Amino acid sequence: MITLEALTKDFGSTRAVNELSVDITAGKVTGFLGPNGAGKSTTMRMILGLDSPTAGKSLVNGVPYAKLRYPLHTVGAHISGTAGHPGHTPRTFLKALAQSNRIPVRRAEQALAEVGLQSVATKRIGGFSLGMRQRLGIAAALLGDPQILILDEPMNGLDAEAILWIRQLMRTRADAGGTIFVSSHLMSEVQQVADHLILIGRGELITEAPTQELIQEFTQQLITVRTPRASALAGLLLQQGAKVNNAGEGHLEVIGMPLERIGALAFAGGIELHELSIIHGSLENAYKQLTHDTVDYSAELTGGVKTK
Amino acid sequence: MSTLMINESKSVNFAGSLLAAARAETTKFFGLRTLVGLYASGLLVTIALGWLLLGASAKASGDNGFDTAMPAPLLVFATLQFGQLFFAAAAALHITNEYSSGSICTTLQSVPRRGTTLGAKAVLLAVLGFLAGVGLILVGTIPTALSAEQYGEFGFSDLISASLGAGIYLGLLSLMVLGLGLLCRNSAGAIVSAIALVVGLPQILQIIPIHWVQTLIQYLPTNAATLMATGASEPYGPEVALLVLIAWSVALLGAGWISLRLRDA
Repeated sequence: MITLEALTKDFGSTRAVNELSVDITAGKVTGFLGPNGAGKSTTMRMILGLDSPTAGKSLVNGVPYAKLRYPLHTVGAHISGTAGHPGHTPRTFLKALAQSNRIPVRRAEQALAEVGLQSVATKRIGGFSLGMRQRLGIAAALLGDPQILILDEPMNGLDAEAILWIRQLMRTRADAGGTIFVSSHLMSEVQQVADHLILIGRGELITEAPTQELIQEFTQQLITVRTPRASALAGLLLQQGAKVNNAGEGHLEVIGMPLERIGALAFAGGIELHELSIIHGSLENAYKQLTHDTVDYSAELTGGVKTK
Repeated sequence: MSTLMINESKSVNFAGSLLAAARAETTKFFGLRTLVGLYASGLLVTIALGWLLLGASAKASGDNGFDTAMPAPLLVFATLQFGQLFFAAAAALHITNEYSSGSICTTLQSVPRRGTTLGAKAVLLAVLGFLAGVGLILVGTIPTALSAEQYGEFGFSDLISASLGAGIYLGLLSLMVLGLGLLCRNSAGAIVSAIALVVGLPQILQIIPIHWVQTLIQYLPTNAATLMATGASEPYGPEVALLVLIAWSVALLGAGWISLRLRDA
């Protein structure tokens, strides 16, 4: 169980995380989603006691992480780009970690086997690919057989097979009662495995809910329209208060307006339509819809049509 | 899966976790070729210099009628002026390496109590520095004594005080540099400031003809170390010299500890 209480972090005058309060409970995979720069890594670093919050607090099983004497037995974590020194071998790296937390050193070999890195146990980490470093980071997280796993963008750099493997790993451990907290900026990476989703944007909580609930709530009214006169139709729909995403050449996605009304408006405006249909929404779309206003660096097209 | 939580009970004491963390630091230190290489180079260079340069030149000067007789252990100690840089660099890199590679995050994740993290690194570096200092005087004295011949004659007490002096100095110097490394967090900055402390400052300050600056020079770490190892009595004795070195270590390591506690990783 991870508890965040009004967790806040300022970097100079920028507020990276703003009064984030949420419980991450045991027995499920909790996805932590937000666009790049939303404050996901900062939040995880605060949970791990790497960065100290400006205000509020985070607790791991009711205790601040920095008070844990041998934390690897309780929490396993992998923050991208931090797995070991390039000059070390995986074996040295894991052995040192094991020693620091009084974990039997043979666990290092087991963890290497679990992530499939035995064959490179004596090679230096500096020569590893991103995917291998991710696997090593996950091995480090598993070393103390912890109840809580915190993984920051663990699927970055992994191939399809490895992504499947890590999904299974998270599923298995959650089913066994573990608390799995996994961040991603891509909905598609986590929607299949996460039981619960926490969405943040610009450091603030947008929503949190069970994954199924979010899908039902947010994906019913996405309508896709294909027309050779996309920008004209987009202008018309925007005037009438709909939200319009430009999804590609002659392809619009409309939110907040019923199908019939779009058809009527197009007919009245003399705009030819090639497709007008309700998309059986994916969570990806709900995510886009929810975070769109919070993306700091989104590109805008002239004429009011927003690109994704 | 283990649902057992390691409890924050008082029985799990600080010493145990310090020892565990120090073992991890040892593994990390000896797992890096750079650090082991720096230590090997430092030992080799100091011993070779004692033999080739100082010992031989003491003999040459002595043969030419100059009174340069100096006990061989102290001749070796003099070569530390140069050799110390290798050990200082190793101490700096042991910490700054972790900041540059990002692995400091893993270190602090596994040992989140900053006092324990710092303590473990300090214990390792102080012990390594001490062993290196003692070892290189004991080993280096033989070739130096041979090359200096009668001008390097020494008594047992010279050997003891020089080797203890070198050991204590390198141990405490490692702590000072660890402090600098925690303040700078990058290798170049830490190594340059360490060189400035032990080589640069004494030379620069020498050319400033102000009384208190000249007094200050006498209290710089290298000077204090020489006084401690040679058992001199002017301008102050070995006991004061030891206190001066400890004061430097406490000040720099303390500053480093504050930096580690207060700044985000």
